[in-house]
Amino acid sequence: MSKSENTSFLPAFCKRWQAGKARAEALSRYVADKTGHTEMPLSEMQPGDFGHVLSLCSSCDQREHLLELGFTPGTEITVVRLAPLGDPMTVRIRGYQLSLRRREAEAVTMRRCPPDFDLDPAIDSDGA
Amino acid sequence: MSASSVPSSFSPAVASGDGGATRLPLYALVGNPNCGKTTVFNALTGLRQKVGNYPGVTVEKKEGRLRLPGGGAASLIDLPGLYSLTPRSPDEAIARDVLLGHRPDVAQPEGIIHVVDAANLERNLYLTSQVLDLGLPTIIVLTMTDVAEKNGHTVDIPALEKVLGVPIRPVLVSKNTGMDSLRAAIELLPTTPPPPQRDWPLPTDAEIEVKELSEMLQKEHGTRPAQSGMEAVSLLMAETLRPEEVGRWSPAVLDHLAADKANLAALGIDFSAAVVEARYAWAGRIGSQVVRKPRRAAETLTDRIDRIVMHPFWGYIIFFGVMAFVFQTIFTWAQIPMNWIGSGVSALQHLITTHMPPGDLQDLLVNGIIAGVGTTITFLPQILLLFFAISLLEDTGYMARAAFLMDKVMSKVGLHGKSFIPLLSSFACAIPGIMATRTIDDRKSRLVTILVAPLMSCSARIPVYTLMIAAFIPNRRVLGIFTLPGLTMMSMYFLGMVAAFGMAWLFKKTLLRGSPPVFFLEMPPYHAPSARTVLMTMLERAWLFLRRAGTVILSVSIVLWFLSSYPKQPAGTPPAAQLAHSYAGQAGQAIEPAIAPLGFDWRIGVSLVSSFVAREVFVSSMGTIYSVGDRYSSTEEVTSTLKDKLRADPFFSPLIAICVMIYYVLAMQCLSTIAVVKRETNGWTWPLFMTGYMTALAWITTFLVYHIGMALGWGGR
Repeated sequence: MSKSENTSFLPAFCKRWQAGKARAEALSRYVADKTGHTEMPLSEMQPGDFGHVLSLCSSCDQREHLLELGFTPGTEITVVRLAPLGDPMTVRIRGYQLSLRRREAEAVTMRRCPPDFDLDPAIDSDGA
Repeated sequence: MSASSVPSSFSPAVASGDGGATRLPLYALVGNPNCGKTTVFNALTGLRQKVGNYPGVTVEKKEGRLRLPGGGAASLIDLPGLYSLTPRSPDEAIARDVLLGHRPDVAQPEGIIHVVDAANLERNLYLTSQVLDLGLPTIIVLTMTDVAEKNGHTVDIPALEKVLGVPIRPVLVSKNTGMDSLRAAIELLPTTPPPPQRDWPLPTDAEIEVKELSEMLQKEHGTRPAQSGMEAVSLLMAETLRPEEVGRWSPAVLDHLAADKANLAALGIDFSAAVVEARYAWAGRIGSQVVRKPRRAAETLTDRIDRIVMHPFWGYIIFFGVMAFVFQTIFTWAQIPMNWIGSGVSALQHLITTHMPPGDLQDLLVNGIIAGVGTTITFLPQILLLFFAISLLEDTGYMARAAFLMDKVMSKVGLHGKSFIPLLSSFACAIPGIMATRTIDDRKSRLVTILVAPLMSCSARIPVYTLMIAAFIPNRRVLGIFTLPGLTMMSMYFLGMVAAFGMAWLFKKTLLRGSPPVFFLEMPPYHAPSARTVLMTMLERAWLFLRRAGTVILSVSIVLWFLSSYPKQPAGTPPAAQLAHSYAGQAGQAIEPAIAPLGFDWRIGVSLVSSFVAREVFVSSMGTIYSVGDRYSSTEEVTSTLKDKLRADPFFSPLIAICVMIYYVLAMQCLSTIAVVKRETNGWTWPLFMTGYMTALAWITTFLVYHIGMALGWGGR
């Protein structure tokens, strides 16, 4: 919302474009491992992506709150949608849908499954 | 206020309803938000409810009385919906303190009725694990079993009963099944054995610390053995203790606690994470034992609706449609009953004037009391209709979606997606708008929303704008399709909005700074609204308004009637002179030096003072001064002739008219709003602050506009 951003169209556009490029660069840093899983923050996952919680940031404000909402390591999470303006996002976790801002979602490190990954039933139900 | 620990003081509702008979057992209703808890509460207690506030905080306290099949009764306290007993908001702190018996004003409940959503069992069981740790006799009410079934989940209730060790009663309030069985179970609650002790193990070192601390609590404070484990766990989990908690425990306990925490940290154990993970593991284990569900969740009706309702394009179309409907409801449709009330009040006034000898008493009755009651009840249609709309949106599950869609926009000024509806409602009237802020959990965001809500142009400002525009803004076309009066009116609405968002941003940056409100919002499945819940919410809000704010509005109206009627002038004095010499008139003249820099004279001053009752009084008050009818004439009658008189008055100019409008956009000219803010914030600090900042904002803005306008030579006519 700085002044220079709104004064004329062209600089604003360039800034947008640069931000988009920076984001693309950041995304390219998340490389899949041998099994096709990718380690990345929840905030960068796209609708339809799913994966498991790997860890939470160790000392951020919302750590305990996130834990209590069910973001414990190993929990399966599916990104349901992003709000039309790009923020907040809705995820499915432990059978319910939760919306959170991407700022908070950044604190959750995920292990994203490859798109064609079929979740092994043994992973999240103790084989009961 | 509090302090009394005499058991019979816990529930005035019950005491008064009973004529002070023997104390009823107190049970607490606990559950997640959106689990159907309110519906169960309403079904159990019916209209025998009492809503109040916990002293010193803005958390609502709901109590009700429930009849038991055996002829007895019990009182039921409905705790705020929570996901966990770890206090994170005032609501959660209260709920936890009530359950642990730490509130001085509420006795510890003798039993717990825990509502659990069957369609969402695993997440709900997280709270259950904490509720059972309290070691109080507990019944679990299983709701939404129909939704679970539709989603293909089957819950094995006998198996769940066995693992949890407490009675479970499935209930479907909408189909009226299970209620009798639930009542019977509640009757047996005093003899129900408490649940077994927790069976979610912690790492050994953590277990040792919990055991030591809980034994110490039992010895030092006489904490019930069943509860001490829970207390120990939550003390060890808390990063910092709330001040009231520090005072609760002996220094020995606090020392021991600090040593324990240091010890755990040295061992590299993250105690909170360990507890949360152990609880979720427990919940997951039970979930997989008792719930059978398809491996991949089938697409539900909610998913299908959401695909349209949350669509980037259609989602906003629907959103604006819904908001237009809400706005239409309170802005236009509420006018119909409001007009009925208005004509009812004037018919009553007319009746008394014709049948009662004129005099002070008649004047007090007609223009003080009846007018005051009239003012109060004119708000009722708006409040009822707004809360009808809000509870419909809440109950169906759309409210969470609306907040989701608006959150990004609202977050630009540091607010929460949930601030949108209160601000929108304030276009009709700030009073229902401010009452609607209760849905915002974050205290600071709620306060900021309350503080800026009165800047949104409410319907009471319209008569002021209309008069000033009719008198001074030429009816000229601009750009072919717009007219100057229309544009002026729109600018006033726009100014109010800009001021509201600007001030919200400023407050969030300065006075009420804090980390941006966290937005963790469950998107509940859609379901058909319950007529009972919607009706109860409407009635509850209306009653709260009448009881708390209504009384203040009525008395203030009477005081203002007195101020504008006394001292009495000799009979035959024209109404204009009577008003000018009244206390209100004197006050208006006294403030002239303060408002002269704004280009206002004493006549506007008098109208400013008298319009504190309601902004539209400005018009009738100006009418009185300009001898157009008297102060009881209707606004429309006055406007049509007054605008010519104002135009003929050399004092007035379009610039002054604009200044008057700007002042009315920004100034806190409404005692009813102040009364509501006082009630909603539990004290005089915020209403006074609000009055102060709004008056300052209005004064400075008007001052600048007037002087810049004069300097630019716009002061002419």
